[in-house]
Amino acid sequence: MVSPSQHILCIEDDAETAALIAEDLQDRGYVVSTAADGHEGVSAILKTNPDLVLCDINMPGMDGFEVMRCLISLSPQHEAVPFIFLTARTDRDSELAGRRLGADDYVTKPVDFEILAAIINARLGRGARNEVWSRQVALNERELECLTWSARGKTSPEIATILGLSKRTVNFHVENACRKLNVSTRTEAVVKATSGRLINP
Amino acid sequence: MHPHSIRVRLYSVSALIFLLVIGLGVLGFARLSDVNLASEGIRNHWLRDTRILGDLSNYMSDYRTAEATYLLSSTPLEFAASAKEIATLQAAVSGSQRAYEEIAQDPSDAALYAGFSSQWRAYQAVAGRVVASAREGRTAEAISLYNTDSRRAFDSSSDLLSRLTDQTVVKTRRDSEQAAETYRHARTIVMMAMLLVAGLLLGVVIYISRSILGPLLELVNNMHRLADHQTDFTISSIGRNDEIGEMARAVAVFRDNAVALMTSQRRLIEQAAALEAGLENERKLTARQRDFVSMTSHEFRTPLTIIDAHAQRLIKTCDRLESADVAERGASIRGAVQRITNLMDSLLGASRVLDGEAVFHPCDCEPGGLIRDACQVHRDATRGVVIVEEFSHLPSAINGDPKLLFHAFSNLISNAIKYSSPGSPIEVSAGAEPGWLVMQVRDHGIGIPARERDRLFERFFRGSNATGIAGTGVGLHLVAMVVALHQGEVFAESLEGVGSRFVIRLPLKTA
Repeated sequence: MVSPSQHILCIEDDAETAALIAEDLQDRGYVVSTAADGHEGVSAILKTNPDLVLCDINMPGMDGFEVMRCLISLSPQHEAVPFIFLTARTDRDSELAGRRLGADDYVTKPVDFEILAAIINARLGRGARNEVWSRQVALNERELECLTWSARGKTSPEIATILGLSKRTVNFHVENACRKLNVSTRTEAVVKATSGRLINP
Repeated sequence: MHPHSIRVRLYSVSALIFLLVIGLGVLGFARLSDVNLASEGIRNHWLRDTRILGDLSNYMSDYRTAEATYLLSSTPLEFAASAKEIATLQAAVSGSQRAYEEIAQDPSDAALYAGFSSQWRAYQAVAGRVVASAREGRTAEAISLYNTDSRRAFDSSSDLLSRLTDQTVVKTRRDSEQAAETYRHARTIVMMAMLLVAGLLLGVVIYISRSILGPLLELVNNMHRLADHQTDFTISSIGRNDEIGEMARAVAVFRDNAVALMTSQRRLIEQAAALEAGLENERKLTARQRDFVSMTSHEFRTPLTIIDAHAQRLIKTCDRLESADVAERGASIRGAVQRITNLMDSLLGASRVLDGEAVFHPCDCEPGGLIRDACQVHRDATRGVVIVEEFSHLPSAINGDPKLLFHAFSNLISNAIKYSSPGSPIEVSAGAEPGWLVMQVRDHGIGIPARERDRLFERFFRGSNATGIAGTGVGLHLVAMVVALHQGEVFAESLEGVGSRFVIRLPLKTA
């Protein structure tokens, strides 16, 4: 458990359930906000750009499916945000409907918080599998920063200015990164780091 | 073979026609031979008589002329020639006489001929004297004899011959007329026979067309109508005891079969429609039952989630728990358990009532207390809910099953809460009208679409605008059944988006 706290939005009409989920996830180091119905949920997603959405299905006014449909049509740029249904609807038709909409997972109530946390972790790229390569490569923070800015199209002098380093130091970090990633050019390093999700330009 | 059968009749008719033809032929031949006989008599008798008599007359004139020629002869040559001619003519007359005598004559002709014959012999004798006188040179005597005795004898015989000729001609004419008459008679008879046969044939044709072809065509027509699915016709020849009757009865059987077939087809179609409708109902009910099961599961899982979540939190935080924390979580867990219990009660109650197993235990109970309790239960179960009670002139007792009535009241209140936004007031009022207890629940929630209001109390029915709101579709059905058990009535008024008002009216026992 590391790094900047990630933001989870929980859309749940039962206040008590919402409070309990928030309590547990906060305990695990996430920042959790709640929305009491579908409309509120959609506007919260658009406003706060959460890293992951947990959404109930049965809600007055606008149900979970509609939230997802609304999100798909209103804001395609949120397609990468993991979207997990957390619902008491256990029937096959509902699960199929949810998964066909493209939900990343479909979790039924009552919920085991350990399992919920594991699912969320995996979706946020923190699963054991997700971290093998980054641990093996073990780029340090400076190297990651330099590659990120390179990916954004900055030259070494510009990166040096941005990071308050000398141009020589920037080049040094980039060369280290190339060596660790086992490539020979800066472009190759940027592509490999991006596709391996080491950086997010 | 039946004596009335068409075959027998056709054979009889054919035999009749055959006999008629034979009879007509025989009659024709008979008449023909009559005519032939008549014309043969004329040809063989009268024509020959006439010809012979004509010849006789000629020969006689020639004889007389030859007699005169002899008188006038002056040379021996001339005498010889005339004598020869006289001899020749005498032979010719004798030949004709013989020919005439060969023919059988009737008595009047025979008498006349005998007269003539003797006169002719007399004349010949006189003529012989004339010739002899002339030959001996007594010319004057001869001439005088020629002009007197000879002439008289000749005239007399000639006269007799002409009378005979006239008589023969008259008889010939008479026989010709008789032959013509015979022919006409035969013609009339043959024509009448032909007319009779033609009439008979016409009768046969009319009989066949009336008694066979007409009924046959009618049967064909009936079959065509059957083919067009028409069965409302009468078969007139059904009572006949011949082949037509057989066919008519067969057509009747056909018609009866067709009617039976049509009836059974109609019944099949009706049954299929009924089955289809039943199946459709069954499908709808099954779908609603499936919804009911999944909603029921959902309803249980929601409070279970809360209980489970609290339990997990308790386990995880057991090292840093404070007693107030534990108490609060305990209260929450108990609230959730209460929700489950209520749910189970209502479902069990519902299933008891729905399956007809409900034990209806009416007793005198106090309606105000029941309604107040129902309100209170919901105040406890749902935080922040506002239920306004308003009672007026409530009867102190009503005859009913308190458990069931409580369920009904509680259900209406629960619905009002469920379909309203949090915090919007629920108004519960109760009062009395003459003979009735009236309880009503009013909310300001989402309302019920007008077109669904009739189906509101159907089992498993859920409003189209209730999506996303937990519910089983059993509650209102249960209310309706409970009210029916109490011989009361329940109805709803609602405006979509504005709110609903449910009214229960229960009869008060006057006793």
